[in-house]
Amino acid sequence: MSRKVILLVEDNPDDVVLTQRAFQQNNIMNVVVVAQDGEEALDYLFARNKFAGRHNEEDPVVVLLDLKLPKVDGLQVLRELRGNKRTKLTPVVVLTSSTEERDMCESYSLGANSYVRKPVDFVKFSEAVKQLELYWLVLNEAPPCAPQP
Amino acid sequence: MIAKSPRKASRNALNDAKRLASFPQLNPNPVIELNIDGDVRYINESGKKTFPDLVAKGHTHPLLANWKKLVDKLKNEPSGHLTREVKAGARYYHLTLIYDRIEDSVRIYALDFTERKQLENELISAKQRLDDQINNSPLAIIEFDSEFHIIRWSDEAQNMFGWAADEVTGKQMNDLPWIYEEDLELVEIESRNLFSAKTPRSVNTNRNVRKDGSVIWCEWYDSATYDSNGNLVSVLSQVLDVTKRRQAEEALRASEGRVRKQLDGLLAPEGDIGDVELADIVDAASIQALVNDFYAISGIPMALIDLKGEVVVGVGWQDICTRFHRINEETCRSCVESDVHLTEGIPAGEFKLYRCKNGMWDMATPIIIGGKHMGNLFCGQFFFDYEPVDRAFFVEQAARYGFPEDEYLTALDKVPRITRAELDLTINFYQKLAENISKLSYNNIMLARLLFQRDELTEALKRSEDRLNRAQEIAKVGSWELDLVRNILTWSDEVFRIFGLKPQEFTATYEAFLEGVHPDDRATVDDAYTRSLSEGRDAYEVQHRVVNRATGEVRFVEEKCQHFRNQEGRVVRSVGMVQDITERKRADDFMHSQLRILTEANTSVQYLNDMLQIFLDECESLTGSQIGFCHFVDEDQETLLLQSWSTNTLANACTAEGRDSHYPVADAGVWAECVRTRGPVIHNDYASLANRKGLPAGHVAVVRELVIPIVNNNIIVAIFGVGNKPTDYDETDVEALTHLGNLSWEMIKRKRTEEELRLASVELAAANDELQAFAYSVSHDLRAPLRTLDGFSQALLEDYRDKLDATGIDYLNRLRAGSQRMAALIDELLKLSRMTRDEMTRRPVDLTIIAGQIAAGLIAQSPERQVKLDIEPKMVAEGDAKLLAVALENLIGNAWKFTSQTDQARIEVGSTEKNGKRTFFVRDNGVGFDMKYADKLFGPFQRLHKAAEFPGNGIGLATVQRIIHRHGGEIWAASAPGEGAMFSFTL
Repeated sequence: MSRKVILLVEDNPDDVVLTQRAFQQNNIMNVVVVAQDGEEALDYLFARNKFAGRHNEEDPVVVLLDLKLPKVDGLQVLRELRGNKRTKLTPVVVLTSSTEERDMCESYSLGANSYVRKPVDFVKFSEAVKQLELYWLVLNEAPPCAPQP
Repeated sequence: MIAKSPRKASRNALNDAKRLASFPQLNPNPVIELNIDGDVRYINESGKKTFPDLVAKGHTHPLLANWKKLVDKLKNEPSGHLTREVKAGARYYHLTLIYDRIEDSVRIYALDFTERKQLENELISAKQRLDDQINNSPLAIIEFDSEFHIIRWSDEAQNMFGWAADEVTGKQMNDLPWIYEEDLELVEIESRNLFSAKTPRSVNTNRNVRKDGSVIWCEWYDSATYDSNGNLVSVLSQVLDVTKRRQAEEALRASEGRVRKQLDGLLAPEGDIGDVELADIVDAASIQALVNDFYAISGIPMALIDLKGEVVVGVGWQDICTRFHRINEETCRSCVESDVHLTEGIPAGEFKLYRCKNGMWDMATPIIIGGKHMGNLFCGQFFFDYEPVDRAFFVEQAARYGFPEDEYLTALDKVPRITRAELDLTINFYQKLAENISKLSYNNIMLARLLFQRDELTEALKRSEDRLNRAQEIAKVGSWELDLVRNILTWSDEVFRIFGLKPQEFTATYEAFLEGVHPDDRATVDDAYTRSLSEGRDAYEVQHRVVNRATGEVRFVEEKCQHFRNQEGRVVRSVGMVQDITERKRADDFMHSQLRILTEANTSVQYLNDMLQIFLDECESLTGSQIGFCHFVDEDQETLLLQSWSTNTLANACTAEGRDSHYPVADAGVWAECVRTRGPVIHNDYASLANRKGLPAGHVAVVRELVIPIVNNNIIVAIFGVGNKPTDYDETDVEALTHLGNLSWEMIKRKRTEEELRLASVELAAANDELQAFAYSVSHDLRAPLRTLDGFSQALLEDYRDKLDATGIDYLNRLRAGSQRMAALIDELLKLSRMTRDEMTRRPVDLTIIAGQIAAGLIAQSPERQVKLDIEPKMVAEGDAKLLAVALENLIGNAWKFTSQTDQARIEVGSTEKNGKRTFFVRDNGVGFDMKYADKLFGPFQRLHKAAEFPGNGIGLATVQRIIHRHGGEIWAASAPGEGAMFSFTL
């Protein structure tokens, strides 16, 4: 498996560690880039500011997006990402604590591909990450019209 | 990237827990826990502040009135809780009491709803007062909706029209047979104009038919209200019965007309002389004397005989007639026939010579009086000297009628024989006589009648005048007549009274009349009269003021004048009516003021102060004042708060500062006296008041004033005042100002109440939003630390297992279990709060189908279980489908769960009906529970079974209860250990 980039947008360092642990346990060897707020995530995605000049190969194969984020919130990140030609087809999995219906509805209507609720139980969380990997990294075919790197 | 240390994260979790624990403490509403004896065990900050002596007083505190009884009731309450409303001090509290059976303690959540309660009370009483006012109005008040359905029908309307409110409410205007047929079109046009906003306010007079069929004249004052798009919202009509006034006017006109006609008839050159007899009108004695003399000279007999054959005057009657022909029945008939029939059709002034049926000559000429043939003048009987007498005929007559022949023939010989010349002379004489009789008699008749009728007419005229005067006095209608030919002005008694003079005190003149007219109106009145003459109009109307000469009082009158012209078209006579309309006008003005206030309050979105100013304008104009002011009085009854003035006062009378300033009543001028006396105060001689305070600079001089207090619940809330009316204030003004002041106050209060209610609902919405935001943040943030706890415990278990002993591993497992349980609780709590937050839509819901789907789901989850499910068919309830599904899911899920250890498990879902109320139930034959814990069933996180026996989090039934309560229903349970349970609910 190529070491493609997964962008994890998450402000809670505990959750970052736990998510990375879940990746490890599921043998997901992708490079995990962590953005701690929405602005940083957008900078990375659009290769601007401190990420200006990063390689196109470093475009994420999947974005794991928390909703409650400092500066720019997750839904706004999603909105901008879908509005940009470069990222509009990038798979986005909303990964959040919230079960609020309105969060879920809005995520999907803004074009989220999946909505995963972070369970408190780590074992379950690890299983959820495994499902993600299966679907988004293994089974899912990249869209034919995806921009070529 | 900077990652926070795990330690810091757990400290955050601890802080969160602390924060959660501080909820009751920080709750802005009192939270209290007491033991069964009413001793306070816990009271939060708000509780201490609100009820400072609660701890000391315990159950003797008014908040805990009837504590023992209350606790007994609470203990018996299956739901374990009670709500009640109590008054402590001046404030109202809504209490939720929850009994904790295990602790044997009572928890109280108190909510201060005093403002809300007061608002409610005020709104109710304001509405009541408005209704009272409408029902006590002397005018009938009827309100129509935009399609002219009757929506309000005051008591007076019932009196006026005969129908009761419940007979007409909701009816379309035209469905009620109350509009006089001839006026239908008028009313139709009026309604159309109101509807199209052509005339939003109008006054109209038409006839109405009462329920009993009688017809009344009504004056309609209509006022329409429109929405912002200009569409009609409603029409408020005030109706005045003016039948009496109309009748007085009609009577006056009719009486006038009758007298006029009789006089005309009398003065006409020709008139009917009626059914008089000839004997009644001719001077029989003097004619008899005249003809006697003529007979003596001429020897020719004559007679004046009426058309019935009665002889009025006669001379020279022949024996042959009197002794023979008029004696025998048969020959007499011939005489009369000759007198009457042979003389028919002779024109006046001519004569007819004929032979009577008894064989002799006669001559007749008619007497025609006033064009009517009344009798004949006869000459006869006679024979001409040149003709031979047929004696044989008379001999035969004697034999036929049994007359003695000798005597009969002797009488025949006595019949005069005259020459033709003698006859001509006689005819000439009698023709003149007949003419004279006719003329004289007619003049006699006319003279007699004239005298008689004059007496009669004088009498009738007097009676008519008396009646008229009385009617005029009652209706306050005076009448006058100006004879332009003779230049005589006549006033009826009432006109004198209207001008403040004694009836018929002096001879009326036009100048005297103008002098009585208010100086400002004189030109208008004079102009109206002269213009009607110059423009050739037959009638005119004018309204003006009259200054009563005796009292100086200004009164309003309405004049209606009619001109009468001669044949050349020149006005010879003007007749007028003067009506004192002061009361009517005052009532009109009063009603219009009320209407304007009501309309203003109902339609305007103005600020209170602007509204108040408009109200004051009404008070000012209705009382004829030049100043209008209002002050609000503080609850302490000693401080005057807001001040407001009428438009006129602000513009002309008062430049003094002071709006919005507060100051004590003691410092106020004499006008504030009414706060101390609690009644109306009139100062008609302001300048001479000993205790008056100097007026501020720029304040116009006060001459007179009237101030009234507005009393609400025995407290003076405001004072309304008017000033500088040109004449003294009296009871009428007090009444008017009191009425308008109170009405204004009601409107102000209503406006305030509406405003406050609106604010309260805005606050409520804000609180709801806050709660929602809180739930949202809990959903996001509260779970993260738990995940940290669980995640790193798991990490420890996985990575450092070899460094831990069994106890260490057990501890980590407990940590994980704990955080997972808390996560589950948070989820359930959020779900519970969502049940309360989510909007509810009520529609028919098929519970049978929902129960069936739930059961199917349960069977699919554990297909190995053998459960007999019994669901009543076609159970339909009114409610929110989503919420009811959640409730049933919990109830049926519980039944499923608690029958898991029962052989031949049975679950029944059904309904019963009692007193018309449908009760639904879910019954099982599972483990059941002890009824002594029944009160804990529905509390959140309350569990009656160990988790090991039956899993669960204790939120389910709390959720169910909340759903049922939101539907306005009740839920209760019945059970015994080992005997199953039955949960029943209503919706």
